[in-house]
Amino acid sequence: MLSGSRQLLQKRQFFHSHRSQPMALEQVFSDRDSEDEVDDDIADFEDRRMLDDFVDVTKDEKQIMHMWNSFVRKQRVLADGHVPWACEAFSRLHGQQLVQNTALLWGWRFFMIKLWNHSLLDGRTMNTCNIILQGFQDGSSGPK
Amino acid sequence: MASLSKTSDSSLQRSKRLDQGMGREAATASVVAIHSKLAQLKREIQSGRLAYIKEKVEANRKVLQRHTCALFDAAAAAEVASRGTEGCNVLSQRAAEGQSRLMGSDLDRNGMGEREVVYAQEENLSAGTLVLSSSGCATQKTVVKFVKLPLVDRIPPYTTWIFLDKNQRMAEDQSVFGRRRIYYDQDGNEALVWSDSDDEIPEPEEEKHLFTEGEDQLIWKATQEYGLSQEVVNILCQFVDATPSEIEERSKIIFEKNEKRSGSPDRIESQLPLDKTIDIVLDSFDNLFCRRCLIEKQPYGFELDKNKRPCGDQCYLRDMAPRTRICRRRGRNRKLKYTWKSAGHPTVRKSLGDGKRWYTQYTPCGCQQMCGKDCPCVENGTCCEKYCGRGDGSLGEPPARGDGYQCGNMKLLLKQQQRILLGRSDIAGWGAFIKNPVHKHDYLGEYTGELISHKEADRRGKIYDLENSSFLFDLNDQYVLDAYRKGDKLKFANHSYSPNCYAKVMLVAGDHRVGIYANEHIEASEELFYDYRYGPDQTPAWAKKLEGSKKDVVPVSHRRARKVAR
Repeated sequence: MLSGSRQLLQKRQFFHSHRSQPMALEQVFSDRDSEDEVDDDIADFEDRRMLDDFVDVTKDEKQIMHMWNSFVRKQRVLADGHVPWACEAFSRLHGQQLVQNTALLWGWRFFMIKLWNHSLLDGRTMNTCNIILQGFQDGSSGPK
Repeated sequence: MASLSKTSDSSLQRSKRLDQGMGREAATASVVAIHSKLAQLKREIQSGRLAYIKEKVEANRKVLQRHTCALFDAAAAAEVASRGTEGCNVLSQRAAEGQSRLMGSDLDRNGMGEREVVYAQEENLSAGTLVLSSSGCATQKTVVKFVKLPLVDRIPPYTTWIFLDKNQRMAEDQSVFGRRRIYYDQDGNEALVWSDSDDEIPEPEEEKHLFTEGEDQLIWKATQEYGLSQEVVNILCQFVDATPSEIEERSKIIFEKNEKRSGSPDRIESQLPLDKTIDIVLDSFDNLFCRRCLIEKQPYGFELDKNKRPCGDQCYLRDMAPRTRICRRRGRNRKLKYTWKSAGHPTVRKSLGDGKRWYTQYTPCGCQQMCGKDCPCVENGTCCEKYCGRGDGSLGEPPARGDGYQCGNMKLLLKQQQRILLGRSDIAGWGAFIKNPVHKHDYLGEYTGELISHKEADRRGKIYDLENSSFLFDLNDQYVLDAYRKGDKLKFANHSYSPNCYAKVMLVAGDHRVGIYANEHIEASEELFYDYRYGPDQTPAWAKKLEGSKKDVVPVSHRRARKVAR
């Protein structure tokens, strides 16, 4: 940051936008803006609440929807081109949980099919995801 | 013949009458029976409940005792530990010490004799001291110096808000309709309830009766034994404070519940959908998946299906030059175009290279590579979400914010914004300030808020105007943005007729969003202003141009009416 900018910023007292408390100088200078962050807990809660409102969706479908919504939000999946990466990462991240619940696993598979319908997901990536899931399945059903 | 029939008729009638008579008697008898039976049942249920409550209270008492005893013991142990050698409480010991220090230890020296100790206080404001003196056998003076607390300026009024990184539609229960609103009246210095003559607070709905377990039991037993006749229902009315129709409904529900329970207990709740066709299975996902946001959510509203095609000669698309300015024309239903897929359309599978088949005015660019200067989206000013140059799909992760990705259309989508700071405005109230210097036409950030209808905005606006603080921003024919409860720091940017920024409504992947851009080069730590563009009849007093003044920056805490971008 330019020294000129630093000087200018020092002249004025800034405040935290969420607490209206005075902001310390080093926080002003830092690049990170802690206030421009969506409160994850609230967003998660509101997401669950929104999904709960639907009556014709099963519990597992809601669960997979919530997991996906949460993932998209946190990982900033914003554009079509992100989706293949997102599916792969999602499969890796939640693989363990998915293979433990058959309905959930199928929910995820069907959702991937849907993405494929929309041309958001290619066949190759879908295959990769299934291989990842298979890996979890084999891993968990290993020597008990 | 006739006579025969008559007699048979009359005999029939007679027997009918007899039956009826008997029926009525039987009926009244059964009514009495039902009544007494129900009364008995009710007593049973009530005593059952009483016993249950007693049990529960006793159990809770025991648990509570356990908790409080633990705390009590801990406190007692701590107290014992803290007792000094004299065996008295340290706190009172210290307090006594402090006092005696102040007043000198004459008390001790004097012994038990007469204690004529006079305590005097002498304030010396100019020196900032307070002198405590006591007389006794040895007068002692203690000088206590005043400490001056620094004067702190009061901060402007601040209301807590929730950060939104993108516009959010208002949920139904957030509406101000039907709610009592309280505002603070500066003149009278009190909080008042807002009321309006043409207020349409809807009549509170007739309270639906919520059936308790006991009532359910009562209804169940009654209907089991006596069936669901009108009489039974009427009698039940006396026991349960609900309308007959509610009781009937309820009994049906209870009936179903019991049926289910008696069904096979090992039926799996969520069956594997392998025996259904794929369409049915995907049905839930289909209805809820938002193609643009890539998440499952409530779609914007099904009325948008109507507006999927350019609606004719006068359509927005045709007569608008390829800019994203939203012209305000009256009387035309200019709904947004959406790429929302309705249930009626077959799922379209086409490879990315073709460009997708959109049904509405938005034509995505067919750029194969990065969207450059000749991208039609750039000309149109729309933002495409087709992430250019991602052909190979082998990403480590989606590009982080601010990685220098250069597609000019993507700034709003990727939220590549400047750091904004909150501070005291030089003009009035709070203000938004920029941290780093920026050039003309740089994108500074997005004005986010709640998406509300115009009707809702009118209603909210009434109180905002009273308080002289409004965060409403006209978005399009359908929505108004309200940043009062939810939004981001740009809501604090004030108004000016000669501003250093401008607001622009952009069309990003089918959504209208408000971007704030620099109108000129802006230095670090400068306050941001833009023209709210009030209509002539909407301009609040503080914003009206002063006669003969060159500088038009006017005092404002926040806005009235709605801001509009041009």
